[in-house]
Amino acid sequence: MPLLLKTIVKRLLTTVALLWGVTVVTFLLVSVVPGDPAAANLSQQAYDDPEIREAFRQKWGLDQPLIVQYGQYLWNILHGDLGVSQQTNRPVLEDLARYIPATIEIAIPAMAIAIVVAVALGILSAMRKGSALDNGIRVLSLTGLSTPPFWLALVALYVFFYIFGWVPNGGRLSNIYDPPPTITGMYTIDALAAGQVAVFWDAVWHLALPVGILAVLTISGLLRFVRSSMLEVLDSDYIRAAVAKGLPRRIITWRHVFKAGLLPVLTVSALTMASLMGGAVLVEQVLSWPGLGQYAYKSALGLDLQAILGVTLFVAIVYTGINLIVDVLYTVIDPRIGAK
Amino acid sequence: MTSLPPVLEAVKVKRDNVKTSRMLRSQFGSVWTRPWTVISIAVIGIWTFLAITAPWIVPFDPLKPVGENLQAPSSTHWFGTDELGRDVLSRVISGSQLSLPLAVIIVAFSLLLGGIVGLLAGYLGRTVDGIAMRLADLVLAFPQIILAMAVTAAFGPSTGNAVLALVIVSWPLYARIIRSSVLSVREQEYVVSGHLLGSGMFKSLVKDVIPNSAGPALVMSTIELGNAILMLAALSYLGLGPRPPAAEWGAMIALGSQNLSNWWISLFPGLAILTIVMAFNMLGDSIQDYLDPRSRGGKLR
Repeated sequence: MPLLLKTIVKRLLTTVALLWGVTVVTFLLVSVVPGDPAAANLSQQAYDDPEIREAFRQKWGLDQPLIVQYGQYLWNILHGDLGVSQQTNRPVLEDLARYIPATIEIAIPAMAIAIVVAVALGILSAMRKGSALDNGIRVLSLTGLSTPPFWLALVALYVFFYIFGWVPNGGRLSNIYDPPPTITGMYTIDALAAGQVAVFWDAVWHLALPVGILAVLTISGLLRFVRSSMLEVLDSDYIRAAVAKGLPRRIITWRHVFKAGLLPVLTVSALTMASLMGGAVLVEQVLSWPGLGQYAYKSALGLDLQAILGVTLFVAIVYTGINLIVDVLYTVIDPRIGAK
Repeated sequence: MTSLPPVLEAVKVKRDNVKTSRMLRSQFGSVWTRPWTVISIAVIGIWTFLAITAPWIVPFDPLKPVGENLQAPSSTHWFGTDELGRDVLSRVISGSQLSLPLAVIIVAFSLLLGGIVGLLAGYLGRTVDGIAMRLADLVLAFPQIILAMAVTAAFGPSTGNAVLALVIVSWPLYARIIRSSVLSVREQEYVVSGHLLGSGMFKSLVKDVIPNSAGPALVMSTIELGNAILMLAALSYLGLGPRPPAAEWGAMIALGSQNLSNWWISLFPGLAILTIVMAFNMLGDSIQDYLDPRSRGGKLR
């Protein structure tokens, strides 16, 4: 399939260009702007001492000309070295390896739940357009879209932890347990691999609230999209033809509407991963979940250049990677698109 | 059908056939009398009224301690008081004085910046288009909140920088919309004949292209007002927005989150955000229904 190959190569090239752009933007953003990493990381007393300040600048290469700093940085990235975080004093790669699994552990289940629920409710809503059920579902999704994520997390924490005590106060594990030996970095999977059933259930218990909140936030956006995409299909000529032909409604729904309406949902699900990351920043903050979002927040506040670059690079890779996969899938599923 | 927002009047004027227009109007009318639409307009109206009259109607000074701290809601302090003994109701009301105008500013500047970029990209095409759209792609490759966070942190947390950050992350949206409408308008006969009549680029843009391609972006702005309020609140929740003691909804929620037992400190500002954002979203929904004729039919019959 040379056409498919061409699409993939073309997209890969643009992806590389985009990632390069991401490094430039982030680098300029953190280097050129007035904020001073030395001020953000040193105590006031240390900052006032010109010797310590200079030593800090020298240590992190801040005394070099910008272009040299950037060249050095790019050189290191290409050799798989993302630098050392000024905040944690660990290699950024190590930090990412520590925080990313925690975010994946809440993002993937939330995404899975959100897609299933959103597709089910979206179809239901589209099929019964204008009914009380449709209106109810629409209001719910609008409410979800209009709720500040951090506030939703707080309200959920208040209700389910403070009032009912069903879920823990945050964090990944209860104090009585030690984290299972690291294989994937996801506590649930690692605990199972190590045969620690009690730790596994404790990890699941800690997952419930963050996953639930992220799922609710994601469902709201996805649901609207599924609904309108299904409505569009329902309005098409071939569905009308199928109805005129006298096909049973069940067959029309599942064989025609469902399949055709799912295509655009694929795209938007990919885009949703990005918004999920955004939501994760806020939810992780409220529930003290030590994930990528919290790491991003801390490094942004500390003007920790290497760490910010590491996070944005990772997120951009995931984002463009998902888009690439979706584009390819699209071409495979719907040949008309590749032909354009 | 007398009271349509000006945006929609403009869209409708485009329809040259008077008869069709009349027929469509009678159908479209239903969108504006739907309870959702009426409620959302009412909610926006109430908040606007509160924002304008806040200094005169707040029961207490929103920035100063006015009673015992951490009082639960009572008949004197309807929404209770916070850690410093400030009246939460007064602070929620004055919060609208920050959030509403700032949201308008964010959207207006994003629209302006995105509009100029999109206009030039669509009108000039080629290299300009290529560069502008790659730039837009680049910004969209970051999750909005993370980029906004980095920008605000880099420039130093303040109201102005939060606004700046949100403009930086949201202009590509408008640029894309404007660009695509300019692309279709550019080829229209009236634009081409304008050129033949001797209009230069500037005149052509101002007289022919802009008035005919602004519609979708203006609709989009209404919807984005809600989003701007949400993002601004998120930034101030993270401590990157207006500095204390400013009564900003996101910052108030952050203050209350330190101790769950004082639920009222966080609950009411959150409800304020929820109601106003939801009203904007509902209004946006109605406008979209109004503009998209397909959304009225299309039932599986």
